[in-house]
This record gives sequence, structure tokens and C-alpha cells, in this order.
Amino acid sequence: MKKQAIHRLLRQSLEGPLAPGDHLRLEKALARDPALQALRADLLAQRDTLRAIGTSATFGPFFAAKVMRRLQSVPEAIPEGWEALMFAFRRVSLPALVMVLLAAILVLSSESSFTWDALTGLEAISAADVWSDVTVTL
Amino acid sequence: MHGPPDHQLLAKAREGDQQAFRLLVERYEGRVAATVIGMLGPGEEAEDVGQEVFVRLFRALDKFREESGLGTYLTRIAINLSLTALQKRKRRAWVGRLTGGGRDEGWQVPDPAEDEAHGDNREWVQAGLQRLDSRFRAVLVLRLMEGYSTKETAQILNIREGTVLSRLARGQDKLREILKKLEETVPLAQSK
Repeated sequence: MKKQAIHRLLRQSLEGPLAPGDHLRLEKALARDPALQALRADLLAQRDTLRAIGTSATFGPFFAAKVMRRLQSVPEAIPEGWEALMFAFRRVSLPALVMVLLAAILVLSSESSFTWDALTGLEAISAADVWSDVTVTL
Repeated sequence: MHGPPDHQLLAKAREGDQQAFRLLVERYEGRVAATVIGMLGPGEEAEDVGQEVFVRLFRALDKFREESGLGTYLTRIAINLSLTALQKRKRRAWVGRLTGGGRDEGWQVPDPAEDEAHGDNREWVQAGLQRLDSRFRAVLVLRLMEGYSTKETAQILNIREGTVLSRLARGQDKLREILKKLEETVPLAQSK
């Protein structure tokens, strides 16, 4: 039997019981191959150690209390769809309002005016101005 | 399992019973710890991710349908958050290398005293696990550390069962190689 097939049987044997014929083939191969024996011993030890790590894993003392404390300070959950969009807008609305107010104060202090021209930096444009520009271009 | 069943505690938690939710945290702390510590190694980062797992559960209490079982649901969240944490760690390491730092946060130095206390080489295996690619690590953690079946592991990781088996085999081989290299670097005899 090929080495690859025996290795596959070895791994299958670690997953669960083999069919009697396969079991016999694996046992025969193990009896004559020390390297295969070493591989099986390594894999078994690895599995046992990993299981031991898993069963003894802990976060340390007061974990549940820490989670409960964190839940008290947890921000509102982000909802989905339209609500998520509104949620995002709610979050930026206050900083945006502050920015607009600051910009307005800046304009007022520098321009001493609060007109549309002063706010946008654009002179008022009439329909006639636009039309004259178009005819000149044509 | 001691105490009221999960579905009762979940129902109470949905009604705002904090004690019920706390009982769920205490009941599943070990399982979440196994997943997160297996993926990230022990430390503050793992504990932070562990806490976040339960925060996510709390937020999703109304949506959780209890079809998959709470343990499996929490494990899935734990795996996903751990993989995200590993990506962030990788980015930090990359930035660290660029800025001249280059600290490898995934590396733990095995503590021989710990292994002596346990009578095995779990510190070495834990250290070796952290050297393993996250795809293989996730399979080893779920399949061998937590004892999930191949089918359950495939469902949690959203991959095929054949992929679980091949990653398990390759992961075990790679871990074996890593442990051998570790032994050569620092003699394992020190830990025995």
C-alpha cells in the first residue's frame, strides 16, 4: 500500500474508528514503520495538548463583571438600511452644525456682512449674465 | 449544564434581565476563551475580543433565532472577531516594520515553568499555534481544541468539509514542523 494512503488511514483513525480491513492494514504498516509510529504519537500528543489548552482556557477573574460593565457603556447598536443612514447622519449632525456656525461667524467677522454673496463668495448671477456668456461662446 | 436552559435565559435577557445575561456570559466564557485564546494567544487583546463577543450577542439578542445553538453562534462570532483582530495585528506589524519598530505581537515565548506545572508541553504548542497561518489555526482550534465535528467546523468557518479535513492535516503537519524548529531553537528538555 502506498505511503500516502497509509497516512490518510492514520489521519482517519484519529477522526474515528476505521473499517476492520483498514484497521488491520494500518496496524501492519505501523508495526514495520517506526517513522509512522512517531507520526502517530506526535499527532496524538498534539491533539491531547490542544484539548487540554481548550478545556483550561479562561479570561481570568471578573470576566463576566467586566462584560456587564462594558454593556453599560456600550454605544447604541448600528441599525440596518434606512435606519443606519439616519443613525450615521445623527452622529455627524452635531459636528456639522458646529462647523456651519463657525464658518458663519468667520464670514461675519471678515466680511461684516451676512448676505448670500458674502457666504458663498459668488456675486449674484442673473439669467441675462448666463445668456450673454452663452452667446459670446457661440 | 447547571441552572436554567439557554432559551429561558435568552428570553429573560431579551426582557432586560441583566442577571440572566450574566449567567449566559458565565456559562459560555470558557468556550469563547478557548476559541479566542486559541486564535490570538492569551493576553489583553484576547480578553477584549472575548468581551466584544458577548457585547455582539447582547446587541443581537432580538435577532438570534437559536437554530444553531448559542455555543456555536458565539464561537462563530469569536472566530470572526479573532480573524479581524489578526488582520489588525498584521497591519500594525506592517506599519511597525515601515516605521522601524517591527515588533511581532503574535509571538509568545514559551514559559518552561508553566509546562512543568501542567506536566505537558502546552506552552510550546500554544506558541507554535500562534505561528500557524490563521486558516489552519482556525481549523485546529475548532476541531481539536474545542472538539467540534468536521461538519460543524465547516459550518462555522463557512467552508467545505473536505477543506476542513485538508486544512486539519496540513495544519497538524505544519504545527509539528514549527514545534520541531522551536525545539531546536530552545531545547524542549528545559521545559520537562
